[in-house]
Amino acid sequence: MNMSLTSKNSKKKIQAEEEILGLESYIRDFWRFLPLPVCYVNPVNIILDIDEVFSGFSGYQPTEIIGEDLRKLFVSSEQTEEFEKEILKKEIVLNREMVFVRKDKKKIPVNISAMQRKDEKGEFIGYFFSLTDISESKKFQERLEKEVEKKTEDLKEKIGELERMNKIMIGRELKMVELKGKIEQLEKQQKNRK
Amino acid sequence: MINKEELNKLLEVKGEVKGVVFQTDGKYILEKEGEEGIKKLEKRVKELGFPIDYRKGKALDLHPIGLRIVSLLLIKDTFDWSDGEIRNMGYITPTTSFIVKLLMKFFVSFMKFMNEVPRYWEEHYTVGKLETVKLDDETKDAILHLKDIKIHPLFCLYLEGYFERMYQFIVGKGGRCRETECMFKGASYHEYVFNLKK
Repeated sequence: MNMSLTSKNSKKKIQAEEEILGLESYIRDFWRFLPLPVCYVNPVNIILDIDEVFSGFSGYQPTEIIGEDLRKLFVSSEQTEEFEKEILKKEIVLNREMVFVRKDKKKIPVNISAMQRKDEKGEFIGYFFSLTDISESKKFQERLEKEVEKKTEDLKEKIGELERMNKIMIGRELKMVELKGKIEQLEKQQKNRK
Repeated sequence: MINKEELNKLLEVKGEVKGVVFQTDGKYILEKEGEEGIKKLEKRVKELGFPIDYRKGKALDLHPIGLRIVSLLLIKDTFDWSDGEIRNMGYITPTTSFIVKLLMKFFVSFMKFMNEVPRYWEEHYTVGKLETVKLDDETKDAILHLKDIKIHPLFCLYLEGYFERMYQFIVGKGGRCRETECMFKGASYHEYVFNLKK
């Protein structure tokens, strides 16, 4: 009786371990497949895990960055603090604009999105965040803004020119009216003399 | 030079260890010494006839605890590493360990983590007991005692690095760990002291 119970328990244990191994392999493959830089952070803002894409994006090997403070990865500590406060309050934070600092100190504008993790009691145990490189769209936006600025300047210049021309034209018109008046006056004077 | 007889004696030590430790050893060697390095180590392990699989071993399978030390000694000997490098290997290990990932929900606060540390030990080893003997949430000071396990001084050093990194997962890079009492130096337990760098 006892033997069969022990054997059942041991079978269950083996099954559970196999399931965990299956889960491990699933998680590993999933993290490897994810095309986004993803990072896992604990409630005291220490980086606990990153995926391979994050490693490539940041320039840090997992062994170098895991255990570091999140603030190491962003230009502004104030902004990072605000983000940390926000993820404490909200389950999901979407597309917050920040500036990321790579290992080689290169700064990259990113959109950061995050999702809380909770334990079985519903207590906050950390969060995942992912990054989207917005350098290209930022460059495009800046180009567009510069172009709009330049076009506005050109337009202002053209308007100024038109206004100047207008003033000149009006001045000439008035002068002609004045001269016409003078001519008429002179003609009248001449007639009177005759 | 490594003596095979001495290594074989280690296998007689009672107790078991989970396969995850060989996975993390393998990852460290691969990162540090490359593919050539790991092949060199595998060749050495095979020649000596030890059943260590650094690549495909299952994380949760149990192995004789002596193999844990055999692996450390062979790594140190094969690459002619200093003791400090073995400590560094322990220090790097929590960043790549699957079991550490399973325990991530405990890395939420100093108190929670320290109270769960004994469980961490049980997840890896079937012998030895890790006990929290002092905790100060304000200063983040802690003392752990590791009892009923005396295998090899190199393992003490490896654990010192390992515990330091785990501690840093909670307190940041300023966290330090030192083994202040050791069973190889006459103490009845291994004492690990944790504090923040001043």
